[in-house]
Amino acid sequence: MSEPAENTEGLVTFDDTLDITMAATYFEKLTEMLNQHKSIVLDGEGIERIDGAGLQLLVGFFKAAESLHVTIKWQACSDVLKKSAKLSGLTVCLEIK
Amino acid sequence: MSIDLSQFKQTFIEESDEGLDVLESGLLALDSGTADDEVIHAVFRAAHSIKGGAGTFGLNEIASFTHVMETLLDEMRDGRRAISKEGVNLLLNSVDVLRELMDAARDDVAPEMSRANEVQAQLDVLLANNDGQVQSADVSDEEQTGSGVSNSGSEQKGWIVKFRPHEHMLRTGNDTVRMFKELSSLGDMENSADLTTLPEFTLMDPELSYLSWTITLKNNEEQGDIDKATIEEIFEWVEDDCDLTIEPLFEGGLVETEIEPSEPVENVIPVAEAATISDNVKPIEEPPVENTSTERVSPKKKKSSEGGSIRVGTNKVDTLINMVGELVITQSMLSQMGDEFSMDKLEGLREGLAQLERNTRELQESVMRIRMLPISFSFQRFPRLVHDLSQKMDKKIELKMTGEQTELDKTVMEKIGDPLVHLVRNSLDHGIESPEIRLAAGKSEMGTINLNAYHQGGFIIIEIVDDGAGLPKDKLLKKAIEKGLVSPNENLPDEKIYDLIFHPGFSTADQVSDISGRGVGMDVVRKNIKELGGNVDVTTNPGKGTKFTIRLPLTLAILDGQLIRVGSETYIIPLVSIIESLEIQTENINSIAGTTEVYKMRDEYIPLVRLYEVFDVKPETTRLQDCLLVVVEGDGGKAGIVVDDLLSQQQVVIKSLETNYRRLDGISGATILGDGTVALILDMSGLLAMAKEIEPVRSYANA
Repeated sequence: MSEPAENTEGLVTFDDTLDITMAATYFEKLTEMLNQHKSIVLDGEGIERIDGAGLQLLVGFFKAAESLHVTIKWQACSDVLKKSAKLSGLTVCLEIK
Repeated sequence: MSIDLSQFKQTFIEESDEGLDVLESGLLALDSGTADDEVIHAVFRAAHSIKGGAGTFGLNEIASFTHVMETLLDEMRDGRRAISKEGVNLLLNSVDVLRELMDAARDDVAPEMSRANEVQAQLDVLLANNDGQVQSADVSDEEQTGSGVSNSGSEQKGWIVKFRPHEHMLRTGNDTVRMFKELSSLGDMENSADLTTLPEFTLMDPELSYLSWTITLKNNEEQGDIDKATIEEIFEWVEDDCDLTIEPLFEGGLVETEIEPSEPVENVIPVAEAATISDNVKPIEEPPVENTSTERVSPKKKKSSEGGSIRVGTNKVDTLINMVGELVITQSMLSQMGDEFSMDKLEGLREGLAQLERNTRELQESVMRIRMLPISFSFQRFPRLVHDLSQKMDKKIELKMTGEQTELDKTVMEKIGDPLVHLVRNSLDHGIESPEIRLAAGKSEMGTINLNAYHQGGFIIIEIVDDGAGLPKDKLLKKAIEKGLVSPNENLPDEKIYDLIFHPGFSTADQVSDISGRGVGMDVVRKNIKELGGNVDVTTNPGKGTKFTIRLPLTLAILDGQLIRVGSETYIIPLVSIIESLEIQTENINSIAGTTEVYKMRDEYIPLVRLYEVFDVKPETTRLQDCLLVVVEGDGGKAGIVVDDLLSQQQVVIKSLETNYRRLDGISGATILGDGTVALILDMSGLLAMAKEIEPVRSYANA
């Protein structure tokens, strides 16, 4: 993965569904964001359904950002997202409070 | 489909008893340095089987405790830890604890855990102590302690689920979040995700699964204990699409089943990545030291195997089946003969009846043999006893056993255990001298105790022989005179002096120690043995050693008896007690001091016992020359029983008088004869004691 080209803050707003059916779509989007921004804001307020594939995608994204020194922060997290991350033991690595 | 495992619990406990015996004997062999590699493997396997079975049956205290033992044994087995005396002694103590826990499980009561906790703490300390370890540097810390988790508790608190989805699992429509949600509904859940197998983001296929999880599911008060099957049900649809292990979680840590080799260090989940999913999750509790007052605590009682089961070799069962087969054939033959009977078939009928009698007797013997067990079941406790006590007393003692395969009735075996222990402890404590004294006496510093068993007639003979100092004759005599048991002028033969040790309340002050000399005395030992229809004698050789000889009937259920008649009464004398029977010759009858009648038989005089006087029955005649004399032996002496007639000899089934009526002096039991009448079985020792107290009312002269 190349270094982020732009020094601007990117925003990713998730729709209501972040599951295996949407994983490939968001994978491309997140990859693009990593390539373009040193700082990325995630908006997960609208997430009403997230599954193991969606969470795993986010975990991969956070790890990649860390290695690329890209700052990630949550603008908002839905309860579904928080609860699913907690159930899966992923709150710490997803930096969900 | 669920299986009611409780039906197999008893079998597990019995098998575990055997496993504990293997453990103990193996550890003793390790301690003495006589063991080969296979012994430590056998010991480990025994512990492993007990642990696995205990977990299966929900005996979590046993499973948890054995897990720690197994960890230590595993290190010894792999050569990572030296087999030290300290370790072996601790493991022997652990065997004792396991026996107590097994007893509690057998009795279905909550075990008393204080000793278990104490020993387990010692095991933990030993495991944490690297002094005994001989491992190489490349063995990880986790491997050193087996599971990597200190297992200081005992009660199962829940389950540990290790879940690694196969890559394609998510594509099958199964969702890990849904599964975790269902798991969390069962109890208090902690979930740690392992991210180490996650590839670089750009190399990820977002539809494949890369993560794995270790889920700790703890029981809570509201929902009660979590059923393993319920957990399995949650993963039912993905069982072919993931690697899944579900292991019990015990107080203080893991785990019931064999722990897989630990992962490389870089694969261990960072602590920071573990997350708590439930607000009400509490830290893993320390094991409770004491039981709550509401729990039933296992009473410290002796294990009772009476009424239990025995293992029977298939050869014995096969013999039994053959016997029954022959009995059926004989019965068919007689039945047919009865249908078409005519007087010319009388001889055939007699032969058939004789055949029936033979078959019945053989069948009876075969059935009795089922209850016969090798005396090794009783002997096997002694290596440990000698090991522990010789260490305690700083003595060097070797135990040698012969005839362990000699069989005797299970009931007799159960009842002879305590007297045997008492005699062996006595030999250890009072018989074998300290190494210094032995060396000073020109003996080897290593004392020897021999336990021998063999059959002799209808009896089993058990000998406890030590090469110690022997019994102090002068001291015994002096004590007997002090106690007024013997008059100062009385000239007792040596064997009578030595026999004084079996007198109630007889002991010399310096005999008392915490090894023996307390609790049951030698008088109780003799009493118990006599109650079994046996006897115990002692012979000693000053400075050379002492030999206790126990004589026991092989079985308590059936005896070969001689039927005798006195007046209209029929009695049974155990055949083993009878030396011979003869017609009375009046010229051989003498009277001692005008009171006691004696009969001169070859070179010895034997006292006569007129049975009709002892039992106060009306005899056919009081003329001795018209009577028969049955010479019997009982309680170390012979006597002549005067009877009206000798009837047949037959095997009789002993019915307890104590159970059905009450104990009677001179009578050991009763039986029902072929004609339906009840006959009393004479107890020779009791009878002769009674006869001594009866003042003869007449002598042969008035006959």
